[in-house]
Amino acid sequence: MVNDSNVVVVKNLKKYFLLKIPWLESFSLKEKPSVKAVDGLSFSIKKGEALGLVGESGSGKTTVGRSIIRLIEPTNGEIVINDEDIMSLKKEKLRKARRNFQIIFQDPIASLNPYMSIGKSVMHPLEIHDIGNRKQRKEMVLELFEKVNLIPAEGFFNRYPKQLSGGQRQRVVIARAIITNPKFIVSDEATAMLDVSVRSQVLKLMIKIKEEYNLAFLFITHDLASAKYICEKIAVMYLGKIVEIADKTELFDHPLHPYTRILMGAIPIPDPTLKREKIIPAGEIPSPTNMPSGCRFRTRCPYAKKECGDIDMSLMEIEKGHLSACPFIR
Amino acid sequence: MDTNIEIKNLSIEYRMRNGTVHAVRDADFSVDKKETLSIVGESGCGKSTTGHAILKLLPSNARATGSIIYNGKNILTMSNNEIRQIRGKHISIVFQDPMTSLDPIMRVKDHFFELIKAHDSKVNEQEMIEIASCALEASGVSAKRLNNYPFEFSGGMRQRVMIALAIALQPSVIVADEPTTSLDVVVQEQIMEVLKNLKRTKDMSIILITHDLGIVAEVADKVAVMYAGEIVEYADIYNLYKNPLHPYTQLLLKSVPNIKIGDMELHNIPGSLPDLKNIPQGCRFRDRCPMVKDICKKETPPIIDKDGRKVRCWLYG
Repeated sequence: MVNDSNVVVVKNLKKYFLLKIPWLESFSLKEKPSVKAVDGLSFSIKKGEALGLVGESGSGKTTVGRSIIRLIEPTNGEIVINDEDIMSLKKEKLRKARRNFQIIFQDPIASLNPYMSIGKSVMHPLEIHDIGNRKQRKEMVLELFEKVNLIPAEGFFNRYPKQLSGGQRQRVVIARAIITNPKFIVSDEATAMLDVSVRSQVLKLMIKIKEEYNLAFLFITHDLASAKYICEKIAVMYLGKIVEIADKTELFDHPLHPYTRILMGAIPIPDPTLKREKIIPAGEIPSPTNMPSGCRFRTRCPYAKKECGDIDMSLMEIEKGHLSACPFIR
Repeated sequence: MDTNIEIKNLSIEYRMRNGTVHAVRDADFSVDKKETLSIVGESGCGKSTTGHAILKLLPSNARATGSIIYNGKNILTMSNNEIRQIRGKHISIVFQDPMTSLDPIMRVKDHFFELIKAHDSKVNEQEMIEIASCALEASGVSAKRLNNYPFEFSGGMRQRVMIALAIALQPSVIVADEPTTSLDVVVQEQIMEVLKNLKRTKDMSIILITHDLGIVAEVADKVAVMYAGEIVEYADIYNLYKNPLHPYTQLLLKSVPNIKIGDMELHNIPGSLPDLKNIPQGCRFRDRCPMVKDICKKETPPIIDKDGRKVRCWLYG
């Protein structure tokens, strides 16, 4: 159920990583050289809505996921989650606010403590946020285990991460993320490491959780096909900027930005009879330390013209709800 | 068409401290010239083990039986010296991880020199540079980069260098073990295009090991689907996708998201792989199979010929 109220509002988010340069040189430069990993991103996510953030590695999508929940400090920008101004929160308050937003990482083995039974791992957030007493906490964990299909829950409670399969571990991580009843979840490539047959299980579970808890979801992935399966809206990112954002069906039916078109053409489709006209771009994503001027995609764009060096990459509403950063393709 | 390599009754076991793992059982397949065979399956199904066996690259605790016939000779019974003559020159391999497959302290050209000298000590440097440049250009890397070190390349470029090394001596068979798994979709597309072109222009056979059914559909001619160490279905690509016979193949195809289909219902395969240390009697897929019958629990299904395709399932026997 997509509700009209925005749970997450991000405006002009920036994250620059400063580069190390020789001390003497730093005096002669007006601006310190930096990697503009995220360069002015704005989006919002409604209650019960999933926004997919797709792009190649190096496009800055993980940095977005981490900086909106302040796991890394953003350089600039406005972040509002659940009517709370996240940027202004100080240490202790931020920690308390974290029960409202959680993250699921790519590698479940690295995100679970190997010396903690999975029951304790999932219970841990409750202890941190001081929710319920010991008995209630255990009940909550067991109930959640059943919901994420770790059955029998009682039997799983005392197991350790190494005794579980990859899919089961990721389900433990999902359970831990939702135990504090958050309003917003970031999933950072949560299904990238799983096998096909297991991946679909976890994707289905995420949809179920999203619907049951009416969560706002930021689904970061490089896999457009999974994003299409889970999200209502999709934003395509390239070198720190969103180049196109639209509703899922609109984006897949009428991709506007050349980069989106290329990305879609590159997805292998499990159908050998399908013959597609392919545009394969030259080269790879340029280094963010040395960004092309104007449109950042122009070095690889098959439609690039002279004027592309001068445009700024702001998003324009081409059709209602469909924004693209390319002024030439409509 | 001529057969390049033929694998018959290949079985591989790993001896471990706590038992024997039956990683591959009774695998049969062959690859013709200018053909791509794809071995698909989930992790742990024995696809990489099969691929490595073709170059005799298995660890010392592995025991392989059966035969891998290349040029009339059985690779499994070759001495170390004999197989060394073949590796790199007649059969070569591209590994999944280009970061760990290149030596970080060797320039790209030194990798080529080492390879070429291992097979022909008389070649001079000029000739070696020529061979290396040709191979690099064919894989989409500029020959100017011969003097670079591996760390100066991005992941996709490194994988291209790996492919260039694999094709430098114009082998007749390339084993590509998940060559694009660690790469982005756009780069993956570029690499697959390189492999497709090579096959067309250079009379090569490619054995592509992957778990991605989308890639298989785009590049393969024939497919061997593996489950728990067995080839459960072996068919040409069009038949396999249009009309999968084995229940495992059917479920696997239904669990891949396809962007061309509107609101598709994704399926998953309940349960997990059987323990390869003590495999129960009967069909290895029976605990996860939706169409299980009584006989599946008692007897191991043989390979059954169904309209020219091979399938290991009692539904057709």
